[in-house]
Amino acid sequence: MAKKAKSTKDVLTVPELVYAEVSVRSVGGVSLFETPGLITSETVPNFYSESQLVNSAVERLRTEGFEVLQVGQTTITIAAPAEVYERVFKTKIAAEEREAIKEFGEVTTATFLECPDTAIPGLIEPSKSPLADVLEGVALSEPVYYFASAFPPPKAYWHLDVPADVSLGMNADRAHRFGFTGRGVKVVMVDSGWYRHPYFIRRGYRASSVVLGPGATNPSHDEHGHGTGESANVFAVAPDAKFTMVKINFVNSVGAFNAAVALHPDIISCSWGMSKKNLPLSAANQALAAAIANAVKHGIIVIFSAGNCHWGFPGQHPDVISAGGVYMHADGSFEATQYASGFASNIYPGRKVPDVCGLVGLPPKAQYIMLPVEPKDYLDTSLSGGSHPSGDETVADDGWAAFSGTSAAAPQLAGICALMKQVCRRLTPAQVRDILKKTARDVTKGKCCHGHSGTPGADLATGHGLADAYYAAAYAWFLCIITRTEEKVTEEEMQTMEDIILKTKE
Amino acid sequence: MDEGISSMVSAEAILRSKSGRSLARADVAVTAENIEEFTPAAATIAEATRCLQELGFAIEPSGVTLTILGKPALFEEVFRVKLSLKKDEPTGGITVHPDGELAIPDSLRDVVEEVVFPEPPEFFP
Repeated sequence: MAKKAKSTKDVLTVPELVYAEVSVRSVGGVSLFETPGLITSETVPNFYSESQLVNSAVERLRTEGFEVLQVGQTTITIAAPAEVYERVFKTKIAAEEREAIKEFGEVTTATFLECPDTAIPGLIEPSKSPLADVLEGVALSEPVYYFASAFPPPKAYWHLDVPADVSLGMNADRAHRFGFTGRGVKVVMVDSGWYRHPYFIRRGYRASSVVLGPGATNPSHDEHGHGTGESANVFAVAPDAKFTMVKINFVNSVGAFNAAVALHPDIISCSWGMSKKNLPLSAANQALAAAIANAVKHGIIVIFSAGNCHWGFPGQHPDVISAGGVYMHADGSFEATQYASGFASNIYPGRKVPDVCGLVGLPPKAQYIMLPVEPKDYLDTSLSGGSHPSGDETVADDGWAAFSGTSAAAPQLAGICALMKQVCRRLTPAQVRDILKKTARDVTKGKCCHGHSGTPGADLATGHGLADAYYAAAYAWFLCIITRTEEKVTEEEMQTMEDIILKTKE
Repeated sequence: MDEGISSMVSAEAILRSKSGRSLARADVAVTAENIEEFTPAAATIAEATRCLQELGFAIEPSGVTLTILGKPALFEEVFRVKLSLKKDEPTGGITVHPDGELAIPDSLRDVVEEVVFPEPPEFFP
């Protein structure tokens, strides 16, 4: 039963960063905020602005200390501390708690920002500011709530739910019961953004504010949905990891990757790339290779998806953990999926892709893992409806979509790496990859997209097979214990340890 | 409102390495083992940062390369290139397509090897 909340006008704290929509003087001569008529698709051109005026406004807003986040056709999105607004617009900003209906129909209160000088709620009048000649008004952003459920929609076709089914498939449940949960380990994902979906909030996962890569905007939204959805794979395996998203926005992948490195994480997970079958690599590709090499040299574990039929780059770079795909049937059996890449690199001789695998669906679309996304984003709408496997049978605005690809495998492996780093901080990226390979479950059925078959032992279809969270973490734990002393561990002792762990596994 | 003109775009400046080896035209795999050979000296990073800032670019924290940001017109003027901009739907990100290699101005030539716009990657769902 929802509780009725009271509206209050208590003194509240204004957030550190205040977001607003700025309207540049409209071509129609009437302010967007003062028009007596309705703003419709027919009348909206009256509220567009001259390009020169907009450019001038953007420049001058920046000069005054505002961050310009997005330049739209009718408004400019800005952000700055409240003091900047108060100085520039010679006003005061106050916080008010008002009644609001949040997710799950909960009637509660939310913090709204108000400017007491104007009659229109949330409007700042710019006439006393040095920007009066270009701006007609500034609208303080209001909190908005979507109505996505924390629970995935039930569907009759065979698919995996997070966290339970992915955790089970990656054999993470057993690791969790030993206390291996990724606690204290920093995992950064470079992707399309991250939306604070009720799925994450209700489970109390630890996620920091989104960091914007170069040129990226809108830190609180994930317009695509890919980053939000695939991040659920990290938490399914490592529920206590400290997670941060760097929003890439396609603009500069090297800069976004370096922004992730600058956060000094333990692990960087990337579910993207391009197809590069042969040399030469472009200068930009070399810059990306250098960024990855530099990260690994500094001890950061870097995971890249191998690709979905792509000759994935950087998924084939020698320093990354390359994530391929294995399909888990409803009876728990495994096979290589034809959706995922598997190849010997022509660019890096001797490099075989993938190293190990995560859980990935089958062609045509690998609509396999039901993942949380921002309601009405690209994936929510584009994958919705239809009949599985050509559609995910969800509705277009429910905040859930079924997808996977090797995009899902990379964060699953990142989760396992987080468990390993939790139990043995000093593991190097090379040791982590070695342990993942040694403890993976061999997959002897099916074919990868490039036509290679799963066979006993390592192969190009799945590398060393499906990664195993429990045995990888256990191996890392034992390794850390036996190498703790000054005394050198003999090869024989190492072999004994390996036998104990891997025989238990069999 | 012209989306492209008012947007900031971003590129990577590949700096001259302290070993003299070219990263942009590396003839070996660039890996954690040899990355030191492709890394610029601290003085090169400082000088490149200063010069690029003087030209009007913003610099973001970077690794081996420098991430530079500026308006398209600034890139066109400094690097004598024509840019076409394409808005990616649905992310809203602006991808940049130059009509040729960016020409490094004399003031940067001692410290900057090349300036490149990374090609937009695709997600692998």
